[in-house]
Amino acid sequence: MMTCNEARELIPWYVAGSLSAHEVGELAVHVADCSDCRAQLARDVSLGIDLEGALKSLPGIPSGGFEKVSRQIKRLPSTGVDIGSFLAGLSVGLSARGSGAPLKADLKLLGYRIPLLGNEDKLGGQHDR
Amino acid sequence: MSETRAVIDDQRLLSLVAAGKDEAFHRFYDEYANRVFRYALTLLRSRHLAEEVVQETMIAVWRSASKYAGLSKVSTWVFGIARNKAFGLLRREERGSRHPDIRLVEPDPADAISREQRVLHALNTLSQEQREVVFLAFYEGLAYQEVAQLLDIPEGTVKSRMYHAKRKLAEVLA
Ligand SMILES: [Zn+2]
Repeated sequence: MMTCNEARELIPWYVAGSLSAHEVGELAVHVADCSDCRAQLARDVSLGIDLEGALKSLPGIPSGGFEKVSRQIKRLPSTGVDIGSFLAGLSVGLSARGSGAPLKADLKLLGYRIPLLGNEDKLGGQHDR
Repeated sequence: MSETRAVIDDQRLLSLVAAGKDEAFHRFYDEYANRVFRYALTLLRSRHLAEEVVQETMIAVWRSASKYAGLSKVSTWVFGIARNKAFGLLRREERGSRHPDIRLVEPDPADAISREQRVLHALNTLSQEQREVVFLAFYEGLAYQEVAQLLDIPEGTVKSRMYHAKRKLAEVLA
């Protein structure tokens, strides 16, 4: 059985969506039985949503960077970069990586229903602040 | 796109870059430039330096794509290069006279500070090591094992950095 300290260390990685299925299972077993860690999980879910939103709001790279790189490697033409497709590529790249909060689905999959202290609607919600 | 699919696509793309395909390199840039920029921005807190990191990283990728051995995900390999470039630039900056910006973001001229800005401000109170782990976990979605590999530190150290970062954030945001 996982200790509270072990659980506390894994919770943020669970919230970030990168724990292995095995670790998620062990964590779920612990959290189902431990109200303290359950409360921590709820706080971390909320923090995780905030962090994702904040990091996605960081400024993006200014345009024209690819042309500079092209010129330096002297292999690609230094003119004629299609800015439209350049921007489209960036947005596709970004949207493909949104991880969201995997929490509810994963825990339910394992047959547990973990109450999240009123964070239910926040969990499924968008970053609309 | 599934995680596995993305990993395979990245490897195919990189092999085309290694073969000298310009178009593949352009696609690679589109996929990674912003991610590397934000990673460097998180580490160095300077847009100017972050742009330089992207430039140097992309040039290094173009030159050494054929050396990618497939031992880690392409993203981990790219961030490893970016990390070296970032710390290299930082050392050069420290020897020189230019000072990096202090903040991750400019203060909002409006009175109302958004939640995102409050959180970015809180991130700013973390150490560089803590900011890095938080970024890699919550923006890039790297597992703690992958972060440990990238930073070349024990997994326990990664978990403990995250634990303390999170506590500090909760304190500042309370
Ligand atoms: Zn516990």
